[in-house]
Amino acid sequence: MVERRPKTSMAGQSKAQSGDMTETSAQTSDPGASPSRRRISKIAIRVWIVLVGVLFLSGAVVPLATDSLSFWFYMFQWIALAVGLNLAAGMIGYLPFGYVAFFGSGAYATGILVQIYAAPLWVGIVGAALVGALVSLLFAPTLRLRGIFFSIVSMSLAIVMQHLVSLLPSEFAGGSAGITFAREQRPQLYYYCMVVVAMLAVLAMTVLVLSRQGLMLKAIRDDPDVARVIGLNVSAWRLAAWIGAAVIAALCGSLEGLYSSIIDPHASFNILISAKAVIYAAIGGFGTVMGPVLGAVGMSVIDEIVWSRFPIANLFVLGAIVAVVTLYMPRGVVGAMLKKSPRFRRWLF
Amino acid sequence: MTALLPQVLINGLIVGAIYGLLGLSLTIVYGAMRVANLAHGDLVVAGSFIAFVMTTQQGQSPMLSMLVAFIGVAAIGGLIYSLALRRLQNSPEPEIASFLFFYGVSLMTGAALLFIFGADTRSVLFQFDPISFRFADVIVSHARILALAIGIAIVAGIFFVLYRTIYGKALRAAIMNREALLVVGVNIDRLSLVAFAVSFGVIGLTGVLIGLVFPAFHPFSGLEFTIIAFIVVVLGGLGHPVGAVVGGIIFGLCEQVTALYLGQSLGMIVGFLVLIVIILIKPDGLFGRASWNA
Amino acid sequence: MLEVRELSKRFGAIVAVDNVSFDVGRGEVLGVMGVNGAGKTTLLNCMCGLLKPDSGHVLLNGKDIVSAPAHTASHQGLGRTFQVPRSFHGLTVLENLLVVPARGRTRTELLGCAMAALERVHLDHVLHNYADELSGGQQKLLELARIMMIEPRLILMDEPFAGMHPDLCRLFIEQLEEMVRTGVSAMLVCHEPETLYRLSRRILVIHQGKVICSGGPEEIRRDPAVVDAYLGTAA
Repeated sequence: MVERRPKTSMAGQSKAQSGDMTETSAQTSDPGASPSRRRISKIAIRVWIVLVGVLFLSGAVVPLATDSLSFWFYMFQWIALAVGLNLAAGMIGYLPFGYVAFFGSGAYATGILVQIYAAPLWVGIVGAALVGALVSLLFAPTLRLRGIFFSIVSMSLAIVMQHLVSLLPSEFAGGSAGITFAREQRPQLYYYCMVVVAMLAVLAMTVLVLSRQGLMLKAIRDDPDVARVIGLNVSAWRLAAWIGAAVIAALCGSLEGLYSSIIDPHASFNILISAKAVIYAAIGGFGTVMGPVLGAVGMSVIDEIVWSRFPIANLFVLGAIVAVVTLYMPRGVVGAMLKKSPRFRRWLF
Repeated sequence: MTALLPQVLINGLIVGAIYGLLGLSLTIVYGAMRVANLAHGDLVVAGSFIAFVMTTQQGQSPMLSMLVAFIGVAAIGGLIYSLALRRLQNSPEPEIASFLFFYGVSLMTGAALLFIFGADTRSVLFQFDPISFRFADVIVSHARILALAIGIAIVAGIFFVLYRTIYGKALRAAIMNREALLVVGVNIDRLSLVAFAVSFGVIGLTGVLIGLVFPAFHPFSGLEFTIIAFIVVVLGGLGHPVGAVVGGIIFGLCEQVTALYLGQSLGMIVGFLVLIVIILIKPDGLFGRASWNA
Repeated sequence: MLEVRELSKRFGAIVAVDNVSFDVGRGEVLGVMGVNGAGKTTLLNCMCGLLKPDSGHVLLNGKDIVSAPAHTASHQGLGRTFQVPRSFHGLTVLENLLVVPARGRTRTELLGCAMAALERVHLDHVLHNYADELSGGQQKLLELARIMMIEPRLILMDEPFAGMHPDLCRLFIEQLEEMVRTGVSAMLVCHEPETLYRLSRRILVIHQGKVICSGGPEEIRRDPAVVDAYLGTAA
C-alpha cells in the first residue's frame, strides 16, 4: 500500500520555477482522498462516453426531424477538424495554420475521382484519405521547424496548394472555376458519413489520450530531446500523429465537397478553415479530449446565432472571443480548469 | 520579354523595399516582445484605408495621410500594448498565445473595415504631376518613386535609431536577451511600449505606401500582407532587422521576375517556394544565428 | 562495460570535446569535473545521442550507441539527467514515468514499477500534480525516478546537486548509492570537487575538452595540472 511520506521541506528551494509553484506544489493533493493510482476516474470516462453517444445519436436523428441539415453538418465537420487539429497542435506541439491544405486536398481528390473519373463514391472518399496522407508525407520535412516558423511555412504551403490547384488543367481539376458534382445529390448520406467521421475521430482521440501512447506523444511535445533520451522514437511518433491529423482533415474536405456539391480553389483552401479549426480547438484546450469537442460545439452554436442575425458582426465576435480567451485562458477552457485544481483532474481529460 | 527585364527589376526593387518595410516593423515587434503579430496585414490595410479616405475622398495629400495613418495605427498599438502584452508574455506559450490573440485582432480589424467601407475594392487616387518618370527605357510612376523614397527614408531612420542611439541599442539588446536588460536596470516596459507603438505607426505608414503602389485593396487583403511580412521576416531570420529588409527585396524581386516569365499567379508561389527551400536548408533564416548550445 | 574511445566534437573553431577516451566499470561511479565551459555537458550530450560527435565511439556493453539512432541508447540501459531538470511539464508526476518504453512490461507492471520508483524518491504523495508544479529539487528526483523506470545500467548525471535542497540532496544520493549497489554504473558531472571526492573513487578532470588527469581523489588533489587548470582559477 502507498504510505504517506513526511512532507519534504521546500524552504530555500530554487524559486526560479514557475510562478505559482509555491501554492500548488506538493501539498495540494486532496488529503481526504485515498491515493488512487488512476488520475482519471472510471466514472468520468463513462460519463464522457455517454455524453458523446448522446451527441452523435442526436446527430443521427436530426434528418428525421428537419430538412435543414446544414448547421448540423458543419457542427460535426468542425468537431472532426478541431479534434484532428488537436492531434497535431495539442499532442505533438505543431500548430499548422495551413491545416486547410489537407482539407482542400481531400476535397479535390474526391472531386477528381468522382466527377472527372466517375469513380464510385467510396473510392472517392477512401482516395481522399489516401491523398491526405500522401500530402502530409510530402509536408513532413517541415516538421523539423518549430513554433511559429512551422506555422508560417504551413500557411504558405496551403496558399501554394491553392494556387497550384487552380493552375491544374481545367479538364482535370476544373481550373479556377472548380468542380461541380453533377451526380445525384444525396445530402443525407454525406451527412451521415460526416457524423461517422466525427464520431470516429472523437473516439480515437479519447482512446489515444487515455492510453500510454497519448502520454508518449505529449512527452514528445513537452521536450523532444528528453523523450529521445528516455527511448522514444520521436520522429516516428510525430509522423504518425501528423498523418492522422491530415487524414481527418482530408475526409472532412471530401465530405464537405460532396455535401456542398461544389469545389473550388478559393473555398476549399480558404485559410479561414484552418483558423477556425485552430480557434475552436484552442478555446476548448489543446491536448485535451473534451476541449476541442466542447469548443467546436459551443462555437458552432455561437456562430449560427450571430451569423444569422449580424453577418458582418460574426467575424468581429469570433475575433473578440479568440482574443479574450487567449488573454484570460491561454490553455483554453478545459486546460484552465485542469491547471486550476487537482480536483478537476479526476473528471476532465 | 528580356527588354522588359530592367523595368521588372526596378519594380521588384520598389515592391521589395516596401515588403522589407512591412517585415521590419513585424520583426522589431517579434524580436523585442516575442509577439507574433498576425494582425500585421490587417493594420496595413487599415493604413491603406486611411489613405483612401484622406486622398480619394478628402483630396488631401499622401504626405498628410501618412502622418494620420502613423498616429492612428500607433494609437492602436499603444492600446493593444497596455491591454494585452503583459498577459500574453506571461502565458505558458507566449508565441502561440500571441499568434492566436492577434488572429483575433486581425478578424476584428477586417470586420470593422468591412463594416465601415463595405466589401468593394478601393484604391488611392491622387493626381501626381508628372504621373511618371522615364529613365532610358524604364518608366516608373511618380507614386512609386515617392513610395520608394519614403520607404528608404523610413528604413534609414529606423536603422539610425536601432544602431546609433542608446534607445536602439537597448532595444536590440532586448531582442537578444530580455532578462539581462532587466538586471541592468533598463526600464524595459516603457522602452517596449514606445517601440511597440512606433512599430505599429510604421505599419500604418506602410499601408499608405502600399495604397500608392498597389492598384487596389479591400478589407480582407490583410492576410496576404501578413503572410508576405512573415515570409520576409522568416527569410531573413526572425528578429533580425537587416534580414527583414534583405528578405523583402529578395521576395519582391522573385515575385516580380516570376510574374514576368511565368505569369502573375505563379509570382507568389515562387516567393513561397523560395522561402520553403531556404528555411529547410537554413532553419534560422539567412541572417539567423545558428544555435549550437544544447 | 562503458568504453568511450577517441570522442571529439567541435563547434566551428571551438573544440568542445577533444579526443576523449575512458572506461566505466560495472557498479562504478565515475566523477567528471572541470571548470565551466570545459566541455562536460557536451561530452554527456555526445554520449547519450543528443549531439552527434564528429568522431569516436561510445560502446555500452560492446554495442556502439553513437552510430545508432538516438532513442536506442536508452534501450541499452543508458539514462541521463540534466543540470536544469527537464520533466514533461504537461504530464502529471505519475504520467512522467509511464511514458518510458514498456520493453515487454504490461501496463500494470509499469504502473507497479512507477509507484515503487516514486516511493523511493518520496514523490508518491503528488502522483497527480503536474510536473511543473514541483520544486526544482523534486523535479530532479522525478528525473531519477524516470531513470529507474528504464532499468538502467549506466546513468549520466549533469550537476545533479546544483541548487538542490540538502534534504532532497541526501535522498538523491541515498537512492543513487542504492542503485549503484545493485550494479548500476554512474557518471557524475560536477564542478564542485568535494561532493565528487565523497562519491567517486575515480575522477576525470576535463579542461578545454581534454582529459588532463584521471585517478582517485588524492591523486587529483596532488596533480599539478589540475591545480593549475582548475583549483588555480577557481580559488
